[in-house]
Amino acid sequence: MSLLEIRCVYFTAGGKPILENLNFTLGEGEIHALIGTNGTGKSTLARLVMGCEGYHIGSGEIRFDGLSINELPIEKRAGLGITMVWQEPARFEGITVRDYLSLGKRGSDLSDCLDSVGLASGDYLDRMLDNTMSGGERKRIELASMLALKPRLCILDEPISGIDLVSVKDIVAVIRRIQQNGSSVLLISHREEIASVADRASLLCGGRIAMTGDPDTIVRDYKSRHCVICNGQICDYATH
Amino acid sequence: MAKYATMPLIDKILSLLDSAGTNSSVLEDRNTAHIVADGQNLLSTQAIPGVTIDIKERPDITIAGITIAGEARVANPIHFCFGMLQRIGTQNFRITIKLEPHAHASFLAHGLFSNVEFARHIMDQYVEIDEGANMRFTDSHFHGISGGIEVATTGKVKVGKQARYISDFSLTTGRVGKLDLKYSVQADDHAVVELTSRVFGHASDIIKINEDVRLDGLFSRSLIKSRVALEGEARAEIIGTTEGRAEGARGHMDCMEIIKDQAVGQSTPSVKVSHPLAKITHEAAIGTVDKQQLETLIAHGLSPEQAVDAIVLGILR
Repeated sequence: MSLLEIRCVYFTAGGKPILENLNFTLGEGEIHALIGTNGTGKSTLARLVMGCEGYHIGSGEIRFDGLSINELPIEKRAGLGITMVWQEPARFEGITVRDYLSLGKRGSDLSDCLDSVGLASGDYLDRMLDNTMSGGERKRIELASMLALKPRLCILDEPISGIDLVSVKDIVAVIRRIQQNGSSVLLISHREEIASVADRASLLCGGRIAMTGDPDTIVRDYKSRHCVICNGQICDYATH
Repeated sequence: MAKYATMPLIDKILSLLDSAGTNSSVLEDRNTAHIVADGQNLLSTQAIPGVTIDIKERPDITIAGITIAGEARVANPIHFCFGMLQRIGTQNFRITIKLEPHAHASFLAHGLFSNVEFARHIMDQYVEIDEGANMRFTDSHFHGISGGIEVATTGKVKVGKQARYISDFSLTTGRVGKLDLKYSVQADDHAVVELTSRVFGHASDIIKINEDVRLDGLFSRSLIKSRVALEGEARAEIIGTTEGRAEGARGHMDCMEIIKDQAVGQSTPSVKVSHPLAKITHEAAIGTVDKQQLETLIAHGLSPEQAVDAIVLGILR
């Protein structure tokens, strides 16, 4: 049984179809990369799974560990072990890195979590998560929080945006560590180089899953910008 | 040397100080200057080398003059412990603080009003910071559940050449009642000014904060930062004015208000620039709790209520 199962999901925003008849599965302990160009609905899918405000599927079903979560609010989904790293993580005044990594109280070694993402705990634990932190630092803190929280399903929305090319391999190592911690990972990105860390990959095109398979094959098609559904250029919104 | 009056009263005030999170034994330290008052009754004062305290008591007002000698580095913060043990009353202080050239001192003022039901606390400050001196003034109020208190604080501050003035006012414990905070600061060449205020208004509390910085000096700098959270039917009006009048003057105003329930917040930044090489900026954000902040904390395991509290308390920290 899949940990996450998305069946025939439709989602529209402002009358415009964003996701159409989307089907997707993610197994327990799996890293599944979902790649696609900007505007194909990747982040929308992430928010639909997380249950963010304003993101409710028009039809279809999202199941987590066999349970339909369509009607569950975000806090219930978080209670089931679903969590998410936003593409642009929020900033917080007056909340330190230590406070933030302690949320969820899983008893993790916070210094170890920070070290794993390449941040020295002595320099960062007492820093505020506010605008004094760079985008790259904030993103690494968010990944460290996934190590501390040990969720069942970790949704990573564009984890390497704002990260320099040299550091991408570090982020790949962190994602593996998250998996080794017992989390399944839905890895969303428009950059194909991150897909190598995945066990499987899917290509999202025009609001649908165009193909699913081993990451190398999916990346090859993605790089060729070839869509098997429309037999043409990989496109943005649901236009098939 | 400490001059203690009625011991039971001071014990009660010190107990309030402990409750507010400050270890009252600090007032027994012979190397720490202080003024302790219950309402209009002066309970204790202590001067130390480099810190002169001159007090004039009148029936309706207490006038205190504090001078920090030139070049003095006052190691321990100077404590102002102003409270009220009676449920009804008035406390009226006028304090003049002078830092002579290159003196460094910090002040911790504790407004201990958790017992009062109907009271007025009036504090007028006149501050003069001479060239190269450095002053930090932290004013923390602790109120009770009664909204019957009025706090009227004014400050007129002159910051000399290459001097620094940092003030931090907070009223985040208990009901605010009515708060009227007015600061007017004038900065000379290369002076630095930072004014921070943090207030949490509840029920029918009324908050008025009016801070005005005039950057008269070359390359003088200032920051006015306001953080206000409101719930119930509380109201807040925040006015920040910065005037750049000299070459290289740089000022910034940053106001954030989080509003819940039927509360109403208003922010009015006023920017005046009268020198072509001065620059003043401002930003203001008033609204409910940010949705992504909220969802991020919920996704990390907090309940929606805990997440709102964490965000609100965070901005007031």
